Amino acid sequence: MSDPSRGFWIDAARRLLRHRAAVVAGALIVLVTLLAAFGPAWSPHRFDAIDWENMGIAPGSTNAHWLGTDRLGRDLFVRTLQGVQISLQIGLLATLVSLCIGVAWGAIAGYVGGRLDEWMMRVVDVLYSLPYIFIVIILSTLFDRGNIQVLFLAIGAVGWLTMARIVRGQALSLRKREFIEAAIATGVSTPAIVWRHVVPNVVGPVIVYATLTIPQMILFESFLSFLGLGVQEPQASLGSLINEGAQEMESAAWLLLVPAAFLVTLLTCFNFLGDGLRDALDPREQ
Amino acid sequence: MLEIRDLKVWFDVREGFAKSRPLRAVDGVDLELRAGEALGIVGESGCGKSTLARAVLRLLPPTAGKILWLGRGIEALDAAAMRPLRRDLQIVFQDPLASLDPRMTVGEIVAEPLRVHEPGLDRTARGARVRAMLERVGLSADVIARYPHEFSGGQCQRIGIARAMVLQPKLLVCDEAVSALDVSIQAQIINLIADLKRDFGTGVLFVSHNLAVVRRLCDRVLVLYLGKPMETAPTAALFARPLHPYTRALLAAVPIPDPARQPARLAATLGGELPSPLDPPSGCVFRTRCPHAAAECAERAPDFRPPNSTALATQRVACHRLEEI
Ligand code: SF4
Repeated sequence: MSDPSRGFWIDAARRLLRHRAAVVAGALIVLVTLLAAFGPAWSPHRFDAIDWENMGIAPGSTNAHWLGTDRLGRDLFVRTLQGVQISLQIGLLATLVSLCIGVAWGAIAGYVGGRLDEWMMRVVDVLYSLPYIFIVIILSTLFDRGNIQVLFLAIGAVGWLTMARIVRGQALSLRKREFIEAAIATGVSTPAIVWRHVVPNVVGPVIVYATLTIPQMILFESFLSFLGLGVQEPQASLGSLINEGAQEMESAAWLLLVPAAFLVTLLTCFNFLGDGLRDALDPREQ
Repeated sequence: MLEIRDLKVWFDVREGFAKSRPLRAVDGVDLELRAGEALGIVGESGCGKSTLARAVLRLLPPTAGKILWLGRGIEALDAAAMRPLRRDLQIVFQDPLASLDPRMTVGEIVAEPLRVHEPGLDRTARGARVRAMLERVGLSADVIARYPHEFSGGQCQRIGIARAMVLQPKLLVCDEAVSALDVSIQAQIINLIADLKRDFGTGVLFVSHNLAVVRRLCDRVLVLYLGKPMETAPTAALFARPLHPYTRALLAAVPIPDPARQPARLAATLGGELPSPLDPPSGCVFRTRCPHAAAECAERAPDFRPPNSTALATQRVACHRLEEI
């Protein structure tokens, strides 16, 4: 502990701010998010509006479309921002779902222990062994095609397994700590111990893992959209844009490169931020 | 108030593929604690005294025996049935910092017992109780917003004591509550516990390996060795005329300025190692280190009994050769 007069979170924030790459990554994420949130509304173009005068225009060749248009004359910049918006939404939503289920499941299993723990972790093992892609493909046919949010709630619901394992490991080691024994001796009920003592103490690793899950989910969504299982036309996500772009790679490379650049930037930033958070929240690294 | 009869706490110990063997941490202890009384439980580390303390509070399951709290057997109650009783049964731990949740403020920590046992209390009333208790243990009331790691060991122990005393329990168990602290701080904490005991009429079960500390605080003392009682007596009597050879060895090791060196000194006085509780000696468990051991001591465990002389009737000792030595 570098300075004993400061709280844990203040200390962690100071360590994070010293992490140059994480700060830059965080700032970029905020920037891209704001751009994706407000950009499409400010732009004179709509993501699905067709400009009959400018079809398949390369970036820089007209002032009306900064990053050019696709074969149907839709503004690529606006479409990409729209795609970022959807990809981010999906990443956050799926992560949030997996976070809630995973933390609750892992905290209860790890803290209560014994037979319940064995049983709960067996469920996780079984779910782990099921072919993930397969399930998602089946789910995607069950739900309405266009309703991607529902699909990703479902993906998040399957994606909580690793989170549950991480939290369980933490809770298991916490159970032996004296302050938990103190809470038991005080007469605090088991749910209250999990909620008031176990969860706050596992929150650090959870934040780190969640930060690293967001890009995974975005990537997974892109993958599905690339396969044609995700977002449907005229909606766009980064994955579906890359898919479209890949088909025109030889004649109009910008259609692939622009969304790909956004995707790579986002993924890299989330990973750097996750690394920074891990260092900041784990004082033992210091 | 508290009565324990023939309490046993055994653990299953598995070594590799070997069959599990019972580790007899506590093996047949009787004790009695009256309201407002302080009983010291002493012995070397590994003698089962902490296990005994935890079993009394049902933090560990007893293997056999009875625990009577206010006349009611609590040895078999489940966790839910124990919960309301915990209001009157509190504990202070050895490691002051580890026993406080690092993510909670001092105010939240001390308020937790109130939250559990007096849920009707509103925020302001609870805050007032917490502040009053913190001041009572010698901290200023404005520490409530701060976190445990900002405090020294002694201050953390004061916080732990405030948490334990905020409900004004009838029994306070102190598990080596001062042994992790500096000697000068130890005295302050002992004085604090003594004051609280006097003011609130709290019964204290004080577990310690340090006889000097026990002498200052306790009305009576129970000496444990390998989970078995060796001697019990009023504090004054025990220090004036220890009867059991083990008690004598403990006392001979005490008057040294640095209690940290006490175990070494004890080993020098006694000679030999503490036998493994997995494999205790037959008959009298102390015989492997006892200077008076005789053939009889290996055959039969001695009874825990008052000496024949009526002058010593307040004492109870487990030794065959009590009258000879
Ligand atoms: S019973 Fe024998 S071995 Fe045990 S303390 Fe007495 S004399 Fe020593």
